[in-house]
Amino acid sequence: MAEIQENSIMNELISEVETYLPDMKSYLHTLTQDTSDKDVVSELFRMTHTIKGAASMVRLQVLSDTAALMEQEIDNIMKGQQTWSPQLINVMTDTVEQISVYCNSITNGKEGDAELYKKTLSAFEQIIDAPQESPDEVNIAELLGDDDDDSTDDFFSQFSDEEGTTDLEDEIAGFFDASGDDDVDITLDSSAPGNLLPETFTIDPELQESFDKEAEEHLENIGQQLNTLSASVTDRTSISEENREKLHSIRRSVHTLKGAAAVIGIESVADWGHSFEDFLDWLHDESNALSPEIIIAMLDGSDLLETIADNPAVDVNHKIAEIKNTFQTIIGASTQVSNEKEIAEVNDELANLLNIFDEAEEDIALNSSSEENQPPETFAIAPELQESFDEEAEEHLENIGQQLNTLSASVTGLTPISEEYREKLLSIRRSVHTLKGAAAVIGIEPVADWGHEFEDFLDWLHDESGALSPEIITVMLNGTDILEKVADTPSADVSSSINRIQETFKTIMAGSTVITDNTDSVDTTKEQTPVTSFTEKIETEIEDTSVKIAFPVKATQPSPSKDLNKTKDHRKRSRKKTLRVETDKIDGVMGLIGDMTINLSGFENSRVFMESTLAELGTTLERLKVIASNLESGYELSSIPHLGAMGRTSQAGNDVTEEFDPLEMDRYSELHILIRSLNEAVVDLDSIKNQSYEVHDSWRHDVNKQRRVLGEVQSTMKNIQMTPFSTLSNRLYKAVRESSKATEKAVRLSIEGGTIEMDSRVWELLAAPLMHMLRNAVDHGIENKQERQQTEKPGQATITINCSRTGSRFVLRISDDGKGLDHEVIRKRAVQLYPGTGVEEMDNRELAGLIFKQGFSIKTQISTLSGRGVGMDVVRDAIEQLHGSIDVVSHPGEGTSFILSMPITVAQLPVLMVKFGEQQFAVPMHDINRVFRLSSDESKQDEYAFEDETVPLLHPAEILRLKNSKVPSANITNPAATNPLAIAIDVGGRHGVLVTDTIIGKSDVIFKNLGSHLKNVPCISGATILGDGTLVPILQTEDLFTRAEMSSGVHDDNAVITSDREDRTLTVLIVDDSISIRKVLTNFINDQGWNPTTAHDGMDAMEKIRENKPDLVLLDIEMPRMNGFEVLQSLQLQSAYRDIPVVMLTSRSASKYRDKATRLGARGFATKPFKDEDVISLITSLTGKTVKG
Amino acid sequence: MKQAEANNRRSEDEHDLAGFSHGNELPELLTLINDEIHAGLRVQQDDSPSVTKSDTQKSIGRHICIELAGKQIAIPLTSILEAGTLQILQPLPFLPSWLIGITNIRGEIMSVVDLSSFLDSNESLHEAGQSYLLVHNDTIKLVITIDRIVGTRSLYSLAAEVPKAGTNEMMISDYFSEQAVYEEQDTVKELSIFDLNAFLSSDKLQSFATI
Repeated sequence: MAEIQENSIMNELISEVETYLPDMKSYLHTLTQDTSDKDVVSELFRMTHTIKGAASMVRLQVLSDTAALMEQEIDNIMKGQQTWSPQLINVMTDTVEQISVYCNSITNGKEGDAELYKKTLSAFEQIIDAPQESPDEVNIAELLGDDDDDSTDDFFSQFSDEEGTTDLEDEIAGFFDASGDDDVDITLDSSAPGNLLPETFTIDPELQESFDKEAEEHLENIGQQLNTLSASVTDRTSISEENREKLHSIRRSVHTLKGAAAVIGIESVADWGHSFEDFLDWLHDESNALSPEIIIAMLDGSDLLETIADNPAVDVNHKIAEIKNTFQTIIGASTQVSNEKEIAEVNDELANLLNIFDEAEEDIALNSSSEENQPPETFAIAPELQESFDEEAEEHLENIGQQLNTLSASVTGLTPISEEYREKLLSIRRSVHTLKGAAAVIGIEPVADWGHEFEDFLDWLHDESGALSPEIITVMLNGTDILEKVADTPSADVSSSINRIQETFKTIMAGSTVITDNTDSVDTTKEQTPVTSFTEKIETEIEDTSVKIAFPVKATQPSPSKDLNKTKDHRKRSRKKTLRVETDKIDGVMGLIGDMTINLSGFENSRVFMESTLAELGTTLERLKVIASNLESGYELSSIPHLGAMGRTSQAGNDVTEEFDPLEMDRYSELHILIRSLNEAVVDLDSIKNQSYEVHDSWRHDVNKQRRVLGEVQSTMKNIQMTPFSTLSNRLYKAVRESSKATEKAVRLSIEGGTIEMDSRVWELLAAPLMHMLRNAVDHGIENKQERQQTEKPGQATITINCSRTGSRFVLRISDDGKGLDHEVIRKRAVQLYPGTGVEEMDNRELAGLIFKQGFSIKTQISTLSGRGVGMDVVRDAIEQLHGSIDVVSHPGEGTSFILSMPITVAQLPVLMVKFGEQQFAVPMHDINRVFRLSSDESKQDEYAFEDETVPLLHPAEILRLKNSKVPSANITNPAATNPLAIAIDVGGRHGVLVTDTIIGKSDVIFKNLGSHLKNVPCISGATILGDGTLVPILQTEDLFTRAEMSSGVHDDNAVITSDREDRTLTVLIVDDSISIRKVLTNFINDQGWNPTTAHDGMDAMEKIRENKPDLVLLDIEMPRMNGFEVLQSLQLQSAYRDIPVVMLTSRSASKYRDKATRLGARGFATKPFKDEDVISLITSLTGKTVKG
Repeated sequence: MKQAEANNRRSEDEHDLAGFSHGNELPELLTLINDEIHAGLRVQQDDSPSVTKSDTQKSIGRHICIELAGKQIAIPLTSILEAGTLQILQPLPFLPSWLIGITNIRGEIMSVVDLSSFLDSNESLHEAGQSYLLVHNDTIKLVITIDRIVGTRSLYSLAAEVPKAGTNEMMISDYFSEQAVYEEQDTVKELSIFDLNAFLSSDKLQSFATI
C-alpha cells in the first residue's frame, strides 16, 4: 500500500516537473534575447529549486542533484558571481531537455538515466573551463547582434580554433548523445534549423510581433485547409480542382511564412518552410493523388512549422528528420506505384501537352498582338487569397516606402553606401522579393514580373554598387510606385513607365562602375558627374511629359481585354481596407461606451424626475386656476358697489362714474387688481409650464435618439469583438490529433456550427478548457480499438462539437460516441476520496457532478493527457468566469455529452436586482432557477423541500454579515402579500434557496470587476454602476454555500470553544508551491490524525489563514507571488495572526536562512527531506498536541 | 484684514485651507490642487528639471499636506491622480475595517482605504463627503480617505531618519520615508513624508490584490 502511495506521489512529482519544463524552456529562450529580465531568472530559479526539493522528497536523488546543479548556476548569476553566456543557456536548455527525457522514462515505468547528474556536471564544468566573456559582453543579443549568417558558427569556432581546447559544441552534443536514449537526438549543429542559437537574437520586437501575427494568420489558414482536406480525404483519391485549390492555398501560406521568416531572419522557420514547401510543390505540381497519410504528413509538417514559429530556438532536428523521411517515403511510394503503362500514358499526355504548347508558341509568334490580350489563367484568384495578398502587399509597400523616405531624407548627394544604408536596401530588397514571390504564387503576373526586374536592380545596388544618390532614390521611388500600382490594379497599363525605368536602371548600372571603383576615394565629387548626367537624363525622361517615346511593349506584359479589366476593377472596388487594432483599445472604447450609457441613464433619471415635477406643477397650476376662478366669481361679485361695501364707499366719494350702474361700467378696487394679477400670473405660469413641457419633450426625443445611436455604437463594437468559433478549430483539431496519437485511438473531430460568432475573449477563455475536455474525451471517454470492435462500433470514434445560439446565450455541446461515464467507478473513487459524504446514496446525476470537483480523477495512473485530478474543476471555473454553466449527460455504452451554456458577451450580464438587509445586490440570472414566496414558517427553517429535493435555505443578509440583517418574515396583518421571497439557485450542480424581502427587478447590467486592487472578495464577483452612479455588488452565489457552511461551523465552534478546544483536531496549513511536496506533507499530517490544509504560495496562504486560522503553519521559503519570509513578516504585522506558530520547511539549510526566519518570527526550522519524527516533535512541542491514533 | 495681510505674505504657490474659511471653500481648494496635480503631471511628462533652492536643504518637490489623526503628513503630488470628496461609497462584505468599500470615479470602480484605520487599526466612521486622494503605482489604483486636506507645499528634505521604535510604531513608521521641513511665517515646521510606494506594495494591501 505504501509502495502504491509512493508510486502515486512519484507520478505526481513527474507530472509536476513536466508542467515546469515548457516554461523553463521558454524562459531560457527569453534569456537568449534579454538576460536582464530578473523576473524570468527568478522564476527559472524557483522552478529549478522546486524540482530539486520535490525530487529529493520522493527520493529521486539523481533528478534532485541535477536540478541542484542548474540551481547553483542560476544562483551564482543572481548574486552577480557569474554572467549569462550562450554556452550556459545551451547547457541549461539541454539539461531541461534531459530532465524531460528522464521524466518520460519514469512515466513509462523505466529507470531514469542514472548518469544524468554526472553528464550535467560535466557539461557545466566544460563551460567553466571554456573562456568566459567579460561582463561587458553579457548581452547575448549584442554578442550575436551581427547580422552575419555565420555569427553562431563564429561563436562556436572560437572554441574549436583554440589549441588544446575541446570543441565545446561537439562535447556538449556528444555528452548528451552518449545518454543512450535513442529517442533523443540533441545536436548543437548551429547550421541546422532548430539549433539553440538561431539568428533571431537581434529581431526587432516590432518585426517579431508583426511576424507573429502574420504567422498566426497563415498557420490558421493552413490548419483550416488541412482540416477540411482531412475531413474529405478518407482514402487514396485523385486531386480534385477543389482540393488543388486548398493545396495551393496551403502552399501559398507556407511560402509567405517562409519568406517573412527569412526577411526578419528567423532561419529555422525559413528552413523548415522551405522543406515543407518543396513537398507541397511536389504534391501540387507532380502528385495526382491525396491520401490520409499525406494529409497526416502535412499536418505534422504544419504542427512543426507552428512549433518553430512559436519558439525558433526549440530543438526539432529529430522531428524534422522524421517528417522529411515521411515526405521522402510518400514521394518514393508515389513514384513506385507508377507502372510502365502509367508512364506511357503520362508520356502520351506530356507529348500532347507539348504539342499544344508548341502550337501555342507558334500562335504567339504569329499573332503576338492577339495573344497579349488573352487573360492569363492565374487571374482567377480566390477572393480570400486576393485579400490576403492585398494585406501583405500593403505591409511590404509601406516598408519599402518608409525605407526609401528615410534614404531620401539623408542622401542629399553622392554617398557611399554605409552599413546603415545597406540594411535599408536589404530591407527593401526583401520586401520586393517577398511581394514578387507571393504574387507569383497566386498568379498576379504583372507584380511578379515587375518585382523581378526591380529586384534585379536592387540586387545590383546592394551587392555591386558602392554609392547612393538622390537620383537613385528617385528611380527606386518610381519603381515602387509602379509596384504599388500593379499590386493595386494588375490590369493597369504601366508598360511605358516600366520601359522608361528599365532604361534608367540600365543607364545607372552601366554608369556606376566608375562610382563603384572609386568608392574608397575620399574625394567623391569627381565621380558625381557621370551619375548626375544619368540622373539628369532620368529626370528629363520622367518629368518631360511632352516627350513620348514608343518603347516596345514586352510580350509577356498583360494587356487584358475590357472584360478582364472589368473583373479586376470590380475586384479592386470590392477590396476592403482593414486595420489591426489591439483588443485592449477596443475594450477601452467599450468601457467608454458603457460609461456613456451610464451617463445617459443618469440624464434619463433626471428627465423622468423633471417629468414628474412638471406633472406636479401642472396639477398645482390647475388648483391655482380654480382658486383664481373662485376668487373672481365669488369675491369680485361681492365687491360690486350696490351689492356690498364697495358701493357705499363710491357713493361717499362722489364718483364721476356714479351715473353709471356698476353693471354698466366696471369699478376696480384693490381686490379686483389682486385677483386680476393672480389670474395673469396663472396664465403666465401656464405658458411657462407649456414651454417646459415642450423643452422636456425635446429632451426626451434627444435622449431617445442618443440611446438609439449609443445602442448602435454598442452593437457595432460588440460585432467588432465577435469572431467565429472556427478561429479555435485548429487548436481543437490538433488537440484531438495529438491525443489520438498518444493513446493510439482512432478519433476524428467534427465541428458543427463553426460560423457561430461570439466575443473573441470568450473563445480565448474557452480554448484551454475545450482542449482539456477533448483530451479527456479521447483518454477517458473513447474505448480502445478492441473494445470498440467488441461493441460493434466504428473503428474510428467521433467527437462532435456542436455550436448553437439561442437568444442571448450560446450553447456548446461536446459529445463523444465512447463508453460513457461509469457511474459505479466514479462512486467507488468518490468513496475513497470523500468518505462519509453520502456518496453511496448519490444518483447518477450527482455522481456525474463529482467529476467537476477539485482533485477528482478516476485515473490512478498519470499519463501525459490526464489522471492528475486537475482539469474538470478548472473547466468549470472557466465556464463560470464567463457567467456560464456546464452540464453533463452520459449514457453507458453510448457516450457522454458536455453542455456548456453562456452569454454571448462577457461584459453584459442579465441580473435580478434584490435587497438583502438594507443593501442592494445583483444576482446573475444564469444562477437562478425560479422565484417564489415562502410561508412564514418555511422561511424560519434551515432547509426547504424544492422540486423533490431538500436544499439549504440561505439568508444572505446573515451570511454576508450585513448591517440590519434581520431574517425576512411575514407581515402579521397581511401575511399573503408580504411573505418572504425565495430565489431558487442552481450553481455548478449545487442547489439552494436565497431568502429576501425585496426583489427590485430584472436588469441587463454591465459587469465590472472591483478595480485593480480588490481581486478576491468572498461572495462578490464584481459590481455594476447604476444610472445615478451608485454601485451594486454582483453576488458570487456559489460562495454563499461555502460561507454558509463556514458560518454554521463558526457557530458550532463558538458553542464548544472552551470545552472542546483541547480535543479539536490540529489544523496544519501546508504552504508550498510544489504539488508533490504538498501531497507528501498532506499524507504525513493525515497519518498523524491531524487535519491538513494547503496553500500553493504565500498569497494563497494569507487568504487561507484569513478564512480559517490554522493551529500551525508549515512554510516553504521560495514561492511565487509571496515568499515564505514575506508571509512570516505579514503574519507578524497582524496581531490576529502573530500567535500562529510557523515552522519553516525548506531545502535551504544554510544558517543565514534559519537566522532570517528566526528574526522574522519563525518558531521552528526543518530542512527537506525531513525526518518524520523531527517534524512531529516540532509540531507537538509548538502546539501542545499529541499524535492521534 | 489681518487675514488678508497674512495671505499676502504667503508664497503664491502655497494652497491651503488657512487661506480659506473652513467648510464651503473646500471645493475651491480641491480645484486648485487638482489643477496643480495636472500641471505637475504635464511638467513631469515634459521632463523638466527638478528645482533646487538651497545647497543645504534639497527641495523634494511639491507635496500635498494632509491631516491624519491630528498629525500633518505629506504625500508627493506626483503620486496623486486626484483629490476630491467621496460621493459614493459601497461597503462590501468580509473586508477588514480599513478597507471600507468601493467607489465609482468616472465609471471606474476603485477600492477605498481608510488610511487612518490602515495605520493604527482603529475603526472609524465613514460616510460620503469625506476627503479622498486617488493614488496609484504601476499595478494598483485606489482611493484613500483622509481626515482633512490641508494644502500643497514645496518641501525640503531634513537629513534625519524617521525614528523607529516599538513593534507597533515600527510597523507604522515603515510607511514613512523621511522627515521634511517647510517654512511658514518665519517658522520652520517639520512633517513626515508618507511613503506611498511602501503603502501600495505592502503585504497588507497586496493580499487583496491577487485572485
